[in-house]
Amino acid sequence: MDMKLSRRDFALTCLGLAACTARPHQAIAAQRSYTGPNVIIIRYGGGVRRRETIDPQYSYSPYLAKVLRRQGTLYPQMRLEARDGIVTSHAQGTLYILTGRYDRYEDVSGKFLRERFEPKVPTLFEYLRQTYDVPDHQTLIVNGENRQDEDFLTFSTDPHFGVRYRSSVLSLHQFKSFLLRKKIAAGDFDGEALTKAKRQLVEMEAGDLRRDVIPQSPRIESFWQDWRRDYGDTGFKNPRGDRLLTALSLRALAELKPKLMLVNYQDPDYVHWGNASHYTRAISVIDEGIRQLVTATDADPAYRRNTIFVVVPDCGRDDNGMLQVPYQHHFNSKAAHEVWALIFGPGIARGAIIDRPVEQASIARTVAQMMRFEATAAEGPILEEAFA
Amino acid sequence: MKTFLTFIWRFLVGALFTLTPISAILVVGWTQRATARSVARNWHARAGYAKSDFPAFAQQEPETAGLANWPRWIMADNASALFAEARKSGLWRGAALMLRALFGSLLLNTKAGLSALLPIAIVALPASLLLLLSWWGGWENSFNKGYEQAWVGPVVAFAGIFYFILAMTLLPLAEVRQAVNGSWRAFFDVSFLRRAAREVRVGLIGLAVLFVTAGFIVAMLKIAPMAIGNSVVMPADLERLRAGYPLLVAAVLFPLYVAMRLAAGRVYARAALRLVAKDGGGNGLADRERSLLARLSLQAGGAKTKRGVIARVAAGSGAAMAGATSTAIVLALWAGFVGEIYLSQFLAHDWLSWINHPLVQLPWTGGIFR
Repeated sequence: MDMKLSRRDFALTCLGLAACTARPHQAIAAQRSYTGPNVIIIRYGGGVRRRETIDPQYSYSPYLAKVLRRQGTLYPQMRLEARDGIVTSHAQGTLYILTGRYDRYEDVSGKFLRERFEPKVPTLFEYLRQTYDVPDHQTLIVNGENRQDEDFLTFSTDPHFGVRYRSSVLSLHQFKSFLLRKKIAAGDFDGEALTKAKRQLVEMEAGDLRRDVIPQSPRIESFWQDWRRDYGDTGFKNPRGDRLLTALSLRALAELKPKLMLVNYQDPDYVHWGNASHYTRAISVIDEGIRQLVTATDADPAYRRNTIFVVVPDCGRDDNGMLQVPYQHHFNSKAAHEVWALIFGPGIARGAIIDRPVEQASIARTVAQMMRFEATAAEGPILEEAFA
Repeated sequence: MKTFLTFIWRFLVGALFTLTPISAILVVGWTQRATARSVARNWHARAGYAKSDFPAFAQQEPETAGLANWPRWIMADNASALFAEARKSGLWRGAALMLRALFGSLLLNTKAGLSALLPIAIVALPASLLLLLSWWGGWENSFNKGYEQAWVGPVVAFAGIFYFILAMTLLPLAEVRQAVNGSWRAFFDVSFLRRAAREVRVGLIGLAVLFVTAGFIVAMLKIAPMAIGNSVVMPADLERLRAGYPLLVAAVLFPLYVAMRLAAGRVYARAALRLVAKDGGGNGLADRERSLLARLSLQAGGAKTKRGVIARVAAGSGAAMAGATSTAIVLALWAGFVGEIYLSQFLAHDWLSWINHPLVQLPWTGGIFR
């Protein structure tokens, strides 16, 4: 038999063999099936203050502050460490939660006003999928339409983890990519328009042209097919804003059965433009979303008594007594570092309030403890008091 | 020494009056009177008279007697004379004269302030409302993801911005004209104002540069509390800062507001003289300014030089090009002024700031910090 091996093939084969030799235990570990609890992380996002969320007297989130608070463990003094270069913003906060590390992040796209970050250490999704046999469609980020860059926080640059263990993303941006892909396949474009459409698709799917396009799994494709059947192509008929995230999450629970899901709520951040009611209304919308998700997990045998919720803001907001809207921004002030966390579900202490400062970076290792894997690169200690 | 103390006193009172919306009306009125005096002094100097002769010239006619000195805030400008007359008069007349002496300027400043603010409000209000509604409605729609009518917010905003920029190309001159003539008709004489504006294109660029610079300072004053407030931890410190900061704003706002009007006064004075020189009789001049210019013998028009067709075409094209260029620069500068409003609103939002810019409408510190 005549076998020709190019230099490129040879190099790739060597790299593959080297990778297997370096971490053989992890290659074997990935075969284990996951039987632990499901975890849903609610990013109470867009930056919120403690006052309007967990303070029962002032909260616009009554379900969280008055009902769920009694069912779990509350860390009212969680914070983002005030370290040099640690930014109190959304993508950064999300990465602190997902990686368990306070790292500095810089935009890698080189485009104006973009925040295209790459996690430097593995995310919770990567740890989970490397340890257990969990398909990518069961590790989900549900993301909003205003922060497309957060669609690409699915895997890290860690050479031992990375794209192989990525999570999937559900967002309008992903749905638009799906639509464009289908239109190209259906021959809706030709000539110059086809070239443009293909280029646009690569940009949409990869985030930028430096990265390879990762094909969606058939289950995700099927998810979008069903979504399209119900809501059409316009984007006008589906729920909007943070209500869309709730709708996507509910549908994902029913159809994809995720083991680990991060819901990136974001709309309180609209208050940057100065309309105070956007902040309070968005908090109410998230509160209602959490109520629906809890109700859905209670009603589903796959999730009932087997799902832990971790609710945590990505960052706080300013508490600026010199401004008309004291919480208009989150510019690294002391208050912008102040967040909280509420954890509830089976195995979690009920009605506990742990009134001491803890770190947001502790979330990752705590989730790892719940799901029984090691978050080796995470720096925050486990929130031990939460476990009953 | 007395002059210096008088200056300090008037500055302090003026700055303090910017602290409340009611007293800020007095600032508008006082500045109107100061601007009218500044224009009259400018014409007096251009007529070749010595500066020191101006008070005497002004007092020759009752109409201009109030321009002889810098206006006062509360007591009448001629309070000494009124007090003297009151002492010689009977009980009732004496009491009336005493009241006039004590509060004459207060009354004049109030009247002039209200008279000036009304037309300014009429002209500026459409822009203010469009900007406010576009910001409110546009972001409200964005929050609710109203894709179907997403165009409404930006279109309303651009309409407001366009109107504001256009209005501001003439508003400072109109305000000066109102100050000089005390007449709304003079304020709203757009045809005259446009002719006047064409005579002082460079001056209008300079005026817009001044407004943009002053607008930047105002924007900084509005934004600064963001950093200050974020660094304060103790509630007592915050209270002290909240109480003290308006004083700083007042100390900066008052001279900026007055300086803008005095600068506009210089530009208007030059424009009016050029118009008079062009058409001899000063076509379109209002009564007071016509009378003042006549007293200063500034109404005689220069002899027109006859030009050939080619020279006329060349001069006309050059003028048109220069006009278009200067107009573009002025519009761009006022767009920059609007940009400052938007930037400061994004960083430290206050609904009131869409309705009232303290350099354009009411010079109230609450438009910057409250």
